[in-house]
Amino acid sequence: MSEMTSAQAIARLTKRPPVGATELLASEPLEIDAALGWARIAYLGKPEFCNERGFIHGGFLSAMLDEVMAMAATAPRNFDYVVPALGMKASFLRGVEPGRLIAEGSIIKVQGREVYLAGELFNGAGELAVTASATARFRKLPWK
Amino acid sequence: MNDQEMDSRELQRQQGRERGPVAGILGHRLLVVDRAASYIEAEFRAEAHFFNPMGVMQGGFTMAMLEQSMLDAVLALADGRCEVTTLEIQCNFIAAVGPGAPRCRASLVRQGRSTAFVEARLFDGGGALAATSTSVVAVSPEGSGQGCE
Repeated sequence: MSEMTSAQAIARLTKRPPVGATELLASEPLEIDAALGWARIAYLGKPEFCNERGFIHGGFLSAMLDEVMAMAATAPRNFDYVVPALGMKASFLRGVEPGRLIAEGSIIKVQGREVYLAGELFNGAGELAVTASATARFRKLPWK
Repeated sequence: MNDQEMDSRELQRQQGRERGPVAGILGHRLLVVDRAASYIEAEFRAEAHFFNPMGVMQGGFTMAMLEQSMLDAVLALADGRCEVTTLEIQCNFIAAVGPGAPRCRASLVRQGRSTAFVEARLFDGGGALAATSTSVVAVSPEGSGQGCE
């Protein structure tokens, strides 16, 4: 298990080559517990992610949760792995308006190459807006 | 008017529906409405800004396309005008999706008065099955303002 501090983990993440999805979502890691497999990331819900009623499209919230869960999963392995999801579920508890959003991800269980994950996303007022769970598989980055 | 003419008129009506700016970023285009067979088909655009470190589409954006197509299915196939809100979505990722124009085919499984059950499949630009999905969608009368995805 990794002994990185939160600051070291964030520094390591921000040094990675740019990733399209991460840039589109304006991902900003706030806190990472590499020993536990837990991450808190801020995202920007942009107006261009909105549906006709002015709420952020559920798929874009799912994309934020997918990423924060992947960060939680790979932190204990120094981010040397990716975790393509095999399955993911999201429940939308309330509409989310554009603005800065906070998402948290955590490892529920690691079993062999599989990892079970959970995620939560909070709206600008700090209210729980989306919950998610995913099953994913560790895969080493080809260049690691 | 026969079924084909009805479908073509519904397709035009649904293509003109306001979906908000997200339709643009997803490259959304509604291609088929088939009311008799109860499905719709829509095309999207998988671009680099949706990709993960492996250079393929991040699962969340695959879900975004599937979710949009399932909402399209309810809007085009449900009886009467309505507003729709996804309550939950589940997705299985079968194969990676690279750059191109993935297509989704979404079917209305069952529609009740306030809830629709929908399923969808996403095929990559080469036509190979890449993801399957189901969703539960809340349906409310148009203009009620109850929907709030």
